[in-house]
Amino acid sequence: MTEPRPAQPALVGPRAEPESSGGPWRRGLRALLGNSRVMVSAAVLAVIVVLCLLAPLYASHVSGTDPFVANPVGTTVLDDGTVLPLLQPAPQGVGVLPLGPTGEAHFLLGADGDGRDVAARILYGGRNTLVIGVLAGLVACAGGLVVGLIAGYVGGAVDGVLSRILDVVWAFPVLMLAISISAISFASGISLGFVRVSSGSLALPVLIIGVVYVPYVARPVRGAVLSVRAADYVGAATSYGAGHGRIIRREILPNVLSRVIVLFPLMVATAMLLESGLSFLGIGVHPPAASWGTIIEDGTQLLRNRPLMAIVPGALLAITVCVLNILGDAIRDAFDPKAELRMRAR
Amino acid sequence: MIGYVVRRVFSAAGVLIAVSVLVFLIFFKTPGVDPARQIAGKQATPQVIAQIRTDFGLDKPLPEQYFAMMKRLVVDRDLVSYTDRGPVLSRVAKTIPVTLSLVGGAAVIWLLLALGAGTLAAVFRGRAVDPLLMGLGLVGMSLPVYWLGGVVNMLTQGSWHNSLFSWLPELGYTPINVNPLKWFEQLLFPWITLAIGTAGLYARVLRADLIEVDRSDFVLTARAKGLSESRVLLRHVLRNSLIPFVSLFGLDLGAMLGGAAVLTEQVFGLPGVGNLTFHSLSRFDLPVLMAVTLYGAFTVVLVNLLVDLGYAALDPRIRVR
Amino acid sequence: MTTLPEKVLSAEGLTVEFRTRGGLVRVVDDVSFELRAGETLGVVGESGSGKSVSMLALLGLIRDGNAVVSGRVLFDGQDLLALPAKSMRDYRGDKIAMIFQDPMTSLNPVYRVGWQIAEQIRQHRRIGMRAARRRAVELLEMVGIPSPGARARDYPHQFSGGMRQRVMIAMALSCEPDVLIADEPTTALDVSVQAQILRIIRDLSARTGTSVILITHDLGVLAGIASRVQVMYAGRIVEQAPTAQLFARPQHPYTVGLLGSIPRLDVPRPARLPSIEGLPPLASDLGPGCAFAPRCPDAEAVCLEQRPVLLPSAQEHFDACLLRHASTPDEKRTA
Repeated sequence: MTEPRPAQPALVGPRAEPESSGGPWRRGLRALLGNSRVMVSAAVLAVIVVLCLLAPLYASHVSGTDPFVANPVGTTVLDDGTVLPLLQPAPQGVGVLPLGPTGEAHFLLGADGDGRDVAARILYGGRNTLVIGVLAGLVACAGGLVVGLIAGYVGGAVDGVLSRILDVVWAFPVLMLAISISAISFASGISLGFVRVSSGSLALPVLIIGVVYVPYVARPVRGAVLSVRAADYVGAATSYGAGHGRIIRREILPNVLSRVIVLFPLMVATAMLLESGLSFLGIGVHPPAASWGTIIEDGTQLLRNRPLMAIVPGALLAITVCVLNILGDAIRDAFDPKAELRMRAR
Repeated sequence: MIGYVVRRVFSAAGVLIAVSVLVFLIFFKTPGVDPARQIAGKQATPQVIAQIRTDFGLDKPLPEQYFAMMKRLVVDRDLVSYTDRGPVLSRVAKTIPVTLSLVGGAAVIWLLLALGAGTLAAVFRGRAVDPLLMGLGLVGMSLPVYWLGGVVNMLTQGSWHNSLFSWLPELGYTPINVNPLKWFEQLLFPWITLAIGTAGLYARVLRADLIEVDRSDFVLTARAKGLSESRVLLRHVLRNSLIPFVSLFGLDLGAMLGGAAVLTEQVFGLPGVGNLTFHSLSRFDLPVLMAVTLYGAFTVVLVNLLVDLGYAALDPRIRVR
Repeated sequence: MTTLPEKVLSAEGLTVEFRTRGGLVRVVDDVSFELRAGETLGVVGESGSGKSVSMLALLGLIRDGNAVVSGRVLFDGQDLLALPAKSMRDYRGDKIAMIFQDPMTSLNPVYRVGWQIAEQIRQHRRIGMRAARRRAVELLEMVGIPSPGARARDYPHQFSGGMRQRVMIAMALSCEPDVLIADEPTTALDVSVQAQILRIIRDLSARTGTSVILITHDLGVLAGIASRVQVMYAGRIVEQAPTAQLFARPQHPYTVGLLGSIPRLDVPRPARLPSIEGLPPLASDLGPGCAFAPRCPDAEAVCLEQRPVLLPSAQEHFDACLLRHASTPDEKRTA
């Protein structure tokens, strides 16, 4: 209603909330389920996720060829024994091009420069992009949660040092930081004491992307911890002798966790965009593994004559990021409208 | 005011030193990475690697290397590249106008688009234009910029190059003082490509801010004063919404001028700051990397300082003391 | 019996409804009243009683796309609600001015207060920026702001709450309006400042002959300042009377309850301050009868079914209680 700033009634207590049934989580969930845009986005996301994640179960059977084996000789033998030529003369009359879209199950979108089935590679690539996005989002959220909790809860010099580091990383463009670490470690991998992340491993981009986004989670978490700590009930818990672990677990985490969970879908969308950017630059997912970024990069070479090879994975990536953004915004608005996330990979 | 600027300059110097140390550490201390081996290449013999290590002084203690490099970079100004022994500073200087042209032009486009679309959507909120513009903004935000650039290239340089875009020169960069028309033509599509995603985000942010400010009491006061809707919108609502908008702009502008437009530069073959950073990284060319990164950090810090000063001008509640 | 001063502003059947998912919700219901030249009319009611919304509607300031405003607002021989937006704007701030509850947020934080006053003057008068600023300084002096020349160049955040409300008053009076609507002007202020602000409103309106509508939820505020009071409940006017008479002989049970919950010094303190049982109804679930019936100590069956209308009970005194007009609704009772 538009009564601006209702004054405190002179006579009576606060008016009953019209929709007070269920807690805030329940009400938020109901708002989400009633939003048709959210439901459509969730359905689109579910289709993409299922198609890509299940790719190893069906993709090579449908396409009748292994999408990770190069066919440099110019022909391939499908699973059913058919011999398929993979090279076609270029329309301008100079040189040859890989097989174009066939419109059939095998080589639906044609072959790439190495004679591999593009459609199957897009499914596998999507799988990698999604997995890296989700895992990197988890790393960023978990890392940010830990750093933010420590900085906010311990305070003092520890907070001072952590906050300064967060500030410097915050001022440093996240894309440049990710590119730097990726480029340096792409060929040889990273070894952290006894754990070695070898260069071909998907864990490498997961780790790098996750780590560079830690400040974006840690800063809001730290702020939330500080405000929760200042609240009376934490003081009360301390005064009757609750230990640190108990205070963090029972009083602080529940208040801070919602903020992190709410940011998660937006984090995944951003991580996917960054992963694809790194892969496009050739320092993300290591060939012969694929991600949407590497396929776009491969396709860019052939864009003039085989445009679908780059357009399809790009469009899939854009659609996925788009629906994740819609879902993320809706979840944030429904559960924690104060949470904010500033970040993007350009 | 003077005290404030002095403090800011000191903290900026601190950030620059921190960034240079960070780059140094990433280069030398990324666990499991041996810079000499990387410079030498995949097929290098141990002798070659050892040779490189002594030639470039990579075997010296890190602080010594750091100070030697910083001295040659800042004091002697004669730092040379690891890969071809070419002078570093002039190489970096050559990339600056490219990135400045790209990001400057794109910023004009994205600000105009965002101001127009965000304001239109807020004024006509709830009607058809609002979800249409905001949906477009969301799509723009979600498009991978390098992919969009590739598609734009395909259309303008490929499919339609002989019809619609026959006036368009080849990809690349021509300095504005050499051929202003060609400079403009070559940068037009990179500008649009880089601007679209940012414009989408900014339009959405601006719309939300406009709607929030529109609900505030002082806007009701402005209407009660009998001001026209356009005056209420421009002088009272938009003026207050610009405050968060400007700080967002500062962060992005600084980052992009400092190299974060690398994907756009890459797709359109523009030899800018981001491109140089990327290439010096992939060749393990630490001197170039150090110079270009410090330049990038410098622009980030400088733009943020300017934005903070602009912020104080926009919002009297934050007067610099 | 003296002739009444002429009326400057009147509302006839003013109604405000909002379209919601549950259908139309009536927030202001068929409100009619008139404001006479030079008088101060108090409007009292709990929050949600429709007092602020009706005043915003009167000025065409309800911008919610789901709001439906009907009825007539007569000023200067014109129906303001029928005017095109542009002509309406010429009345706002010039002939009819309004100030709001929270002075901390009612001024634009990014402009100097002198500029904000001058902006309003220049909207309605053909006068240069310099002259408008001079006038702004005069106005600031008039509302009792010390060193007004220097203060005009300050920003709102440099003023205290009381001082900001003075700035708001100066701004509202800048075009010498015929009507000043003050919406809870003292609610957000310290008690010690409230009296000063009310005095300024009273003195200046007396000096300029401006009629005032003073909205409040606190009947006590009206005692020394309003000539007449109208009591609103759930979007309807339930009682209207000269101030002294309302305090002395309240007719409607709701008014009686309101008066009963004001602590008084002149009567022995009861053990517990009386209050009205229950909560004010939501506009969306009003029954067909009297809106107050569910909380009314005197309610009878008829109150829940029949809608009461405002009827006179004495000279200038009207109330909307079925029980008091039960036998012969048309008959005028003598007090």
